[in-house]
Amino acid sequence: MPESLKYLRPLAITGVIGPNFPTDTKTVTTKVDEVTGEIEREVEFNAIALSYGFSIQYDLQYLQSFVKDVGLPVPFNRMIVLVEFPFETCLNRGCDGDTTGFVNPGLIWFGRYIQLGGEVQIPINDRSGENVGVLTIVHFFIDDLFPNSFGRPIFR
Amino acid sequence: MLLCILTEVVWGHVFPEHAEPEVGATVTVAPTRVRIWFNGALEPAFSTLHVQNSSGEQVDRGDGHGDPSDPTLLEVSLPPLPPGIYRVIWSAVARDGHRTEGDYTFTIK
Repeated sequence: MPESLKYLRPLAITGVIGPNFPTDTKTVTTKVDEVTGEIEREVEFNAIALSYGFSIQYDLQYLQSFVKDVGLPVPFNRMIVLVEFPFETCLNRGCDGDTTGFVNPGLIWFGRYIQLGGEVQIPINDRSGENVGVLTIVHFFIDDLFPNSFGRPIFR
Repeated sequence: MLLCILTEVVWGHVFPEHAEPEVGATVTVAPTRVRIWFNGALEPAFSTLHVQNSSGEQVDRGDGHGDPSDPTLLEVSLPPLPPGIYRVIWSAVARDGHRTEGDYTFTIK
């Protein structure tokens, strides 16, 4: 990448796509109506779906350490700003073409021993949901936390 | 999907905290050495630091080394350098054995 575009070097775009095949075409649930005592059967059809999505990420640590020291203080010098776009489209069994998905802007912070992530989950349509949600994750680097046990080879 | 991204990133290694000259800096006085401070202790015997000119020729004095008084520091000395763009290439091995590599440029005007 040329020097004039150096601030684009920390930018990354990732993508994923894959089909989801259910192990059964339908799920049957049986229950007893508490009022009438009758047995009720509910049938839910499990459709084949296509899951796909992409993310746009900007790594502030890469910017600071590899491109240009812009003087970012702690904790911003260890952050990745990202937006994820996960989608799923139903392919058969009565829901052909129905798509659900979200726009998830968020932040990841990473240190030497732990990584924290948080995203806001915004549904793209009524079918995806009515409310905004939150995703969080904590990732421990086990081999660095316990270098003398998990961080060593089992066999030498 | 977030989980997939997070599990792909492996950040248990050491990374530069700051450097002299700074990453991407333009300086008017040629530096006599390049120093990089990392966010963890290094294994100096396995860590290297070199400086190349814009033609890819090594221009440092070849004495890249760690600092016994500061295990996070890696440095190499430089001869008097003419104006130009220089690339600092580093390879750092942390005490836990993880290796990270990287490079950056600075400019002498």
